[in-house]
Amino acid sequence: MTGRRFDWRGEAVAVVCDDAAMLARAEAYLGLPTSAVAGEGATIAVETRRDGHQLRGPFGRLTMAGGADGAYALLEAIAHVFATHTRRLVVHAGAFVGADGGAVVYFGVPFAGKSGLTHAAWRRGLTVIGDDRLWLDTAAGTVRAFPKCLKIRMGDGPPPAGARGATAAGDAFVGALRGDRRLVVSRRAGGFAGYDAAYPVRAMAPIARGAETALVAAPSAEGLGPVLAGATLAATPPMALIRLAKRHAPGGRPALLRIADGDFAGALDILTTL
Amino acid sequence: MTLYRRIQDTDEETFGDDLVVMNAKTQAVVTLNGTARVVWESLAAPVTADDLVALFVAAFPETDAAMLERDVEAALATLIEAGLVVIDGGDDDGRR
Repeated sequence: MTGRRFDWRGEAVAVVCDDAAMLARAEAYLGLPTSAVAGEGATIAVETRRDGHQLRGPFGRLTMAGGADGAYALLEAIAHVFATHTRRLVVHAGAFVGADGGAVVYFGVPFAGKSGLTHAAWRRGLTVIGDDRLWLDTAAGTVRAFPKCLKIRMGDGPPPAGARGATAAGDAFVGALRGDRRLVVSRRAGGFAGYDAAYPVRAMAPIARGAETALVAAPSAEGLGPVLAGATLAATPPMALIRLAKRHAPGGRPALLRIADGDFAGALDILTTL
Repeated sequence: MTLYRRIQDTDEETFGDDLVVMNAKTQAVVTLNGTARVVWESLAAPVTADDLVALFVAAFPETDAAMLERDVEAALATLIEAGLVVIDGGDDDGRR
């Protein structure tokens, strides 16, 4: 068994795995500092079975097909354990760095379009902080990367044109989890923020699917719902997050960025002008 | 007559036209707009449900009084359910 301790700026998840290549891929893709760990200290244990891999951890047991699906599951499991055990404020949001060096943060429930928007930002050459989870420091008003890879939803099609270079370089692979097929992009691929960088928040907006791509006024409950959903609020009062969202809301009022089907470029145009 | 009051330990913030109120003990957050916001603001001192209805009837004389009564009672029920308003004379957990 090979064991690695993944260190995210003082918080750690230890993984033991009998598939050295799978663990090495997780190590390379997350880009976190790691160190050797013995089996008894593991948070997640991965065992190769005849029909694939079995992952055991605080989330229970997960049996996965082997190869890429197993590697994707391990990356997701590590992210899940970090998110559920952290004392930090981790929010369900994506973010990129704008032209002025400030972070543009977009909150959204699953399938709202966070990954598609992040992929559009990455293709446009903007530095991506994350596509699904972020570490927010409400006191400092800054955002940092969370240990999770960009995952581009694919359906049954080939990898999107903008990601073929990363795929060819070994910085991306296709994996499926519970029927959801994604292109998983390594954080070592160019264009991703490192874990040490803290970016001042410039703008925040919740996103949702819509008939047209537009930034619209929204009742505060509708605007705050995605901001609070999935946030780890154990050590941070929700009101601190709400005040940060208010401070950085477009025009200081509750708003929602609606995204028409697949129009992530249009949504990005709006976000980059906030 | 039953008097209602706000719990003591809350935090609130306006956002747009709404008021976001947090129960500091449970950290539950409620967004109040329209009638619920006015009811909350009217509960700065303990009042009865009848007082609240009378306040609304005086403020909106053109509106059907029965409808205002239903709206006020619904808003009061929402605030009680959220743990933000309790019967006066007890503690903030509703114990007497």
